[in-house]
Amino acid sequence: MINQPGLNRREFLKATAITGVAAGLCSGTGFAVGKTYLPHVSGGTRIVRTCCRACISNCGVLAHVKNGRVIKLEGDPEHPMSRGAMCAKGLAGIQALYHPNRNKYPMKRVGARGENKWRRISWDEALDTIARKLMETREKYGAETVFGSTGGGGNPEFWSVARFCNAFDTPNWFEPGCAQCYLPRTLAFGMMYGGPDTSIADSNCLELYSPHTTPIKCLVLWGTDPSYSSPASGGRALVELRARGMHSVVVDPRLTPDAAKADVWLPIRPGTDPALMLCWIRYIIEKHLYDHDFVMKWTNLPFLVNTKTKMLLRESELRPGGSEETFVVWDKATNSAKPLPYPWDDALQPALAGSYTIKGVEYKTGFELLKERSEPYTLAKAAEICWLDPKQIEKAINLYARNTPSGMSLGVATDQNPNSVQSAMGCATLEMIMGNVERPGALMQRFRSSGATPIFTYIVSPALKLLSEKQFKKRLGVVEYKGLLQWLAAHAPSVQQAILTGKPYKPRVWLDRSGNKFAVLGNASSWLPAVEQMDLIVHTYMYPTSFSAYADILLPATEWLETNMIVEAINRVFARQAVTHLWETMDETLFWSKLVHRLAALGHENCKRAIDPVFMGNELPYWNSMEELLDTRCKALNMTWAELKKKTPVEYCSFKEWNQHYVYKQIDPKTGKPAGFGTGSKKLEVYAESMIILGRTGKPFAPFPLPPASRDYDPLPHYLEPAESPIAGEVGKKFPLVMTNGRLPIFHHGTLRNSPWIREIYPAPELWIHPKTAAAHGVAQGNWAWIESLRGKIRARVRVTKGIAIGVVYMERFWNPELLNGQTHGWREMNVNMLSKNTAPFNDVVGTYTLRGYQVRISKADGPPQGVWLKPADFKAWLPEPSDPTKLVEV
Amino acid sequence: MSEGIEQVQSAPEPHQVIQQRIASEPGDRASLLKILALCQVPRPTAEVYTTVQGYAEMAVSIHTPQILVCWLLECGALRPIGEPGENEMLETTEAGRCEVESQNCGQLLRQLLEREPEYRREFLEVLELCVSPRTRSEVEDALESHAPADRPPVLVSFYLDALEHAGGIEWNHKWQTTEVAKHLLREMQTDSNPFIDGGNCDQSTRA
Amino acid sequence: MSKQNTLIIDLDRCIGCHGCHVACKQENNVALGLYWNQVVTIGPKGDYPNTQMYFLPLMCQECKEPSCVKVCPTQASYRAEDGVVLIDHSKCIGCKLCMKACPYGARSFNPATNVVEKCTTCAHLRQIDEKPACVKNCVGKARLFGDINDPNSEVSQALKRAGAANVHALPDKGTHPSTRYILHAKMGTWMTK
Repeated sequence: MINQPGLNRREFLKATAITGVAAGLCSGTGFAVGKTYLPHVSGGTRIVRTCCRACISNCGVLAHVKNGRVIKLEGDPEHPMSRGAMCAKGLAGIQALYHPNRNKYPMKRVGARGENKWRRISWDEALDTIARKLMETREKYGAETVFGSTGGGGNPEFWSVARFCNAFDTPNWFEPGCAQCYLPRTLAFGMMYGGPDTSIADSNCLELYSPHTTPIKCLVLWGTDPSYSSPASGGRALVELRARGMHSVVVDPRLTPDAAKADVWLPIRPGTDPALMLCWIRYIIEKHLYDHDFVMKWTNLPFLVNTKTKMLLRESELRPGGSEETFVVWDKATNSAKPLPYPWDDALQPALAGSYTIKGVEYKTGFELLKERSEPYTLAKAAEICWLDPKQIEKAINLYARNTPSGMSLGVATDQNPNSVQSAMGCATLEMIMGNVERPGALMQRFRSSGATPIFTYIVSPALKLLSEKQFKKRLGVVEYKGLLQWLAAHAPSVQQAILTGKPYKPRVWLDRSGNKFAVLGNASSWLPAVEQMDLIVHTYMYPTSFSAYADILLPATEWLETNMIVEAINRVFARQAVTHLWETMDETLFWSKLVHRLAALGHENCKRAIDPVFMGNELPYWNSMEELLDTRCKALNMTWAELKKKTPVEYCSFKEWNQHYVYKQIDPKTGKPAGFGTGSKKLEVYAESMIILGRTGKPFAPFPLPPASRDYDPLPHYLEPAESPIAGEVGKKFPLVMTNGRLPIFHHGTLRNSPWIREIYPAPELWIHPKTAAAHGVAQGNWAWIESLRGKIRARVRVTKGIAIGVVYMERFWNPELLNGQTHGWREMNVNMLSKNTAPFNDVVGTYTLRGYQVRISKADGPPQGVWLKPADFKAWLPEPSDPTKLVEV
Repeated sequence: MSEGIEQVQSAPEPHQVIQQRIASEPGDRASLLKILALCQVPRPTAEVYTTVQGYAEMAVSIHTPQILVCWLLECGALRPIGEPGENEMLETTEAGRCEVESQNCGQLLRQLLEREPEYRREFLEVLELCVSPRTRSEVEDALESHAPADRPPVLVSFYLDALEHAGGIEWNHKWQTTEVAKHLLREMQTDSNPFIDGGNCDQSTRA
Repeated sequence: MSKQNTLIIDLDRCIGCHGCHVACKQENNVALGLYWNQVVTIGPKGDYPNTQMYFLPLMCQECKEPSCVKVCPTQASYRAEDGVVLIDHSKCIGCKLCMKACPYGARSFNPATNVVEKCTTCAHLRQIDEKPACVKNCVGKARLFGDINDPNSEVSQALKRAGAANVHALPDKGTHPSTRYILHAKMGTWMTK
């Protein structure tokens, strides 16, 4: 049923799979690692070996359970990334599990939206009600008017929503992250390298977890703060590496713990990253600090590009009968254009730079074009744009370029403004021209994998084949922002606009599985009129959030201590196994399955296919239990889920076998040549022609052809001044300060604002502001301040600090669970996303809006918003209360 | 001075309160209006529940007739008559009547056509088509041939949603043109609108 | 020589994650608003952007001449054989004189039980051969616990490796705190509140 023009998404993902050429398991059938540590416990207490999910790091956890109650959590020394550590988020897990305000049962609204009047219903009634409403909506208006959403906080099984939407045959789902979180990096690295990106928080950069053996000499942390985002895994690894003398450079408007411990801190103006990256590229090229041999042999930079068409020259264009898959270089020896057969031809002396004419047509090498692109970004220019000291920039570049092997980890910061994809391309470019690819010490690696968690570390396959061509083409925003295709997602602002205008059609049923949409969506208040138009809103989460106030049906999701999942860490696989189960909570992975079964029973043809083993094949028909799903994935380990739970952790591979470097040099038995990289040319595509093709056709991701975007995507990184700018345009005059966000070690996205131990550490959001900026704007340490943008006005508590760039202010996301039952529902008082921007211009490739790098103004406020809890004693109401055991219910 | 919260306006009119309350229930709007139309003649409460339960819309409402009636009582669109119990009756209030009339007088339809002149032709075509009940697919197929390149493309549900909201069509297992819309069509026909079947095809009167 | 069990904290390693803070809360069921172990931020100080910042976990300094013990009217606060300062809650009358006397703010008053509380070095865990919760849990492996008077102990070895110039203590107010902090100049200039 699916037309497969060219490389389809599954083939592409297979080609980029982390397992590399010699796929599958290495020797070893999964014997249990000797358990070197188990805590002493008193009688009646059992220890459950599981994994955390307070954030996405999945650190190892030993849970102490007595009389069915979880009484203590501690880290599992067997976990190779956290090695027995746990951070504040994970340690708050018991308070999260037993929070008195947990959603316990499915509930249906009986008052007006926002009145907070609910009636308990059974799961049967909930599923039935939702299914029938979905069927009616499809019949009346079309399946595309049903949409899903998910998020990163609250332990989602990420692809569940995408898979459900495919089964229902709607093309629309989104999450507040996606184009604003991680997609820009997975896309750029996926297309230019065909391997994982350099995110530490997403459990890449695994080279960093071997501090004793890795030769990495310098680490650049660009817009990432592992000490804040993943203290027990990434943060911990950096401590060890710094202790062993590794240099580090931090590019971040904030002085994070990692910045404080780095050799150089570059407090960059938010939103200007590509300018600084192009400066680094220019410097490295000018001073010949790049790895010439690697660039020549393993990137596409020597290839000739038609400067008019922007496309790479192929042998087939040079002479009849030539190959379409062979590219062309300028051979200095013969002073002519010559095809360069893969992987190399020693007879040729390709020119790396230069401009050449072939039959009257101008060609330049990719390297020449990169050089030209970076030309304006001198140290002085970058310093001016980015508000930095040129000497410090130079010091930083030299640390990175002269202490190799080095690595550049790029974090979410640059994903959060419209220069997102360009920043990711800039980082990939730097790593590639430095030769920091797959050699020992490099962050860009394709180490082995168990095969048990193949889809970006999740286990539910999106089953793309379920989505029909007709429906696929209706995905909102997909034509313009084709980068979204890698994640199968719709463009969130386009969904909102469709709701508000009714064009091209009005989405009207919202199935949400995640946290507080009003805390994390950009320009949160713009969603209120959209929410009010929904025929049905279903909200699945562990506890009520502001978003719940507007829902029609609330479904109780499991906390991480109640969930089961397979967790891969280095060369081991762990079982995150449920330690207990409370009330009628359900793992949302199972909820979607039950919903699809219900829809199939009501006659939904596509859902019938989704539960048919013959049709689904190795994409798995929808499961009847979590165990069924987990068993199927555990096959990769030659065991059942029950066995994994007993044996966890298991080594699927020796460390040595896992730690494979130079995957690109491994000989492909089919061709007898090196396997190369996971790209079309098998070289690193620094000149990303694939971006042009993506924009025009949707390849390699679109399962069906799409019309082109309104203009071509750029094959090289470029810099655009932020639309709301402190130095240009009108907005900056009234709103002179630049706003940025960033993580704290105690929160994960919108979670844990209701955790007593966490809230007493940080009861209200801080506005970080430099002393000079504070003085200029009339605020002082400890004041309450108003912060205002074109979109809204909020309050925060002022923290005057030299640890933030001048002219920049910082706030982390915040909402107030204590105000849920009030008129505001707790999302308007101190929520930075009341200020952020979700209007054009968006990033051209994926449609990113602006969560960081927009303009605000501040003034002193009299005090905090009414009713917010600030004192430790306030949070007593959220402490777990012991009770008699509840009945164990199978849902 | 409160931030991020809309300023409270002066107290709204009773009719506006009802309008806002019904508008905030997009999934049940049709049922709520029908209840108000039904109770323009006072009826025993139990009878109202039974009648409403039989509405096509209620088959997939997530709420019960009792809940809907409760909302209408709370916002002043319905009023109870007599003591609670077997003899209680329900009647639409004056303000409730206002709301029913404003939704059913065809004004919303006219406003829709004025507001979206680029799509006027298709709106009228759908209204004509659904005089006989049609499925969504049937409407979609009929419109497929029209896809002018000079305006943003829309899908069939754009028309269906807009017309439903304007009271031009209603759903009863299929899309059906309402009496109000039929009346409007007839009116427009007598004005010799060239877009209606049987009208004069005078190109010069095209909007 | 007598024993002096104490904590050593390597501030080069500490990333201020507050994991030790919550681990202590969980292990000892410390009430809201009370802190047996806090983490404070020192800085950022200096000429921006050459600013310095580090994190300073604060808890009982296991003084050799503890002023809290001196002022306690009921001998509830006492120094154990291994040098650790403890509070016998059964004897504490909640007069809070010890809190005033402690120069390091290490003690908290619990209004629910009317006693003063502080770090116990997780004596209950040490009894079964386990490390204090904060030590076990630290993400940076920054915390060590042991006998600072034993030259072969883990803590003594760590201090030796660091070198005297990089080993610091909180100001001595005649209390002779035994807790030591390791901090190298490139990570921060030692300064106290």
